[in-house]
Amino acid sequence: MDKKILIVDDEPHLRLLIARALQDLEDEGVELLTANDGEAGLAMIQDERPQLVFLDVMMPKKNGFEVCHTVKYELGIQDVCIILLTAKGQEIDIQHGEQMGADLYMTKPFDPDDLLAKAKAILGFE
Amino acid sequence: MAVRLKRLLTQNRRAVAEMLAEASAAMDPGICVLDSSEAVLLGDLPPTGMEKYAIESGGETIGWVVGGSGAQALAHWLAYLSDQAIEIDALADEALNRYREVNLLYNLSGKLTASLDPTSVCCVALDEARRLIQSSSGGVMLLDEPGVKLELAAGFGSPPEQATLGEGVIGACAQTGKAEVVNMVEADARHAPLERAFGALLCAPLETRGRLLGVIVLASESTDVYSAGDLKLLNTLASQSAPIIENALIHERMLQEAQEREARLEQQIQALRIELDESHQAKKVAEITETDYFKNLMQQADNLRQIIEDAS
Repeated sequence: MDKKILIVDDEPHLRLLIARALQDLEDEGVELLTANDGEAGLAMIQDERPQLVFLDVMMPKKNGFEVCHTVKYELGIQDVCIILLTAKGQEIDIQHGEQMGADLYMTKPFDPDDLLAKAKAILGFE
Repeated sequence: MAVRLKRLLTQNRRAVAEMLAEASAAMDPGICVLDSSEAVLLGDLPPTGMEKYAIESGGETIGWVVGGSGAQALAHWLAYLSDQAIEIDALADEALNRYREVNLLYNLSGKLTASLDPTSVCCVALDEARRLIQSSSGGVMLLDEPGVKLELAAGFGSPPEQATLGEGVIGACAQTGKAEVVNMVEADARHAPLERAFGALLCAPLETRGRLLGVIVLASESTDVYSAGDLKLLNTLASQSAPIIENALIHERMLQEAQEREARLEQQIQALRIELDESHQAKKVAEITETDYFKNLMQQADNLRQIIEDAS
């Protein structure tokens, strides 16, 4: 099965940045997909079925929490790992993310090397 | 910096792949895109004798378009796309590096203050520096008590174990308190013999409240590897690390002083114990010698001695 990672962020430079940080995986044959808001991200999760999603929280149309909740609880898609990316790092946000079905939580500024390491571990490239 | 044609065509740039497939389908005969080793990336190999056009990008041939009319235009179009991708990748690399720096500075204080051991703090500062600035050797060198020699407190690769203030590039950096980038060490007249092992050196002073603690040094076997950005980054890291190293050194000194005080106190207690034992013994002896029984014994002994003397 082709491996896919979806990056959902409304800021183009952050999408580019995350994609660049994950370039090693692209070289391994992983397809990197991007979406620029929550709605587009949700549609891509349904259509493309990525194994891993980096999901920004603060986004227009649908925020990351809503997307996460829809994917995990309304659509019942469980074979996707969702990593929430946000500037918020308070415990309450992390708890809220977990309640919404997020698998992991990373705060911005994130460490690009850590991001790659997590993606490799999740996709089984270690 | 070559952008691999395969990535451009098949992976993250889906729209490009779709447009190219549409263009190929519209042409008669269809076109075929080959990579630089002439492996087919898109389409089927057309009959022999068709023209083959190079896709030139970033100063090299990254692939070929084979086909009839339109193949040349497609090769130019792919070359243009590849050039654009190279620029975007370069910008993304730059942004990623800046992001790594922001992340480093954001997390640095927390990492540095996690320990109060000077060596550990120096190791953390050095590890963070080498994570962002590619180097084959590096070290944190701290100024000794007389303020003459810089001695290695933490290092990786083959850093110099010692340097003298004012001598060599490292010594000069410590003396002037100014960060230095030397991209060709041998060509720098100030270089010390030990520094000849390196092609390039990056050095920043560790100063806090106007007091020099030492220097942080990164070195590479190759020349021309460090940029002004690297220098600025190392200097920022040094200025953030210096107060924490100073705190760790103060803590270590206080700990040492406390241990010395404790040892002195232990000696004093020991001496007091001996004195007490002696006085206790004297008291016990006095208690015995001052009894009537003991005095009577002494008297009897004196009498006996007298009898012996008279008899002799």
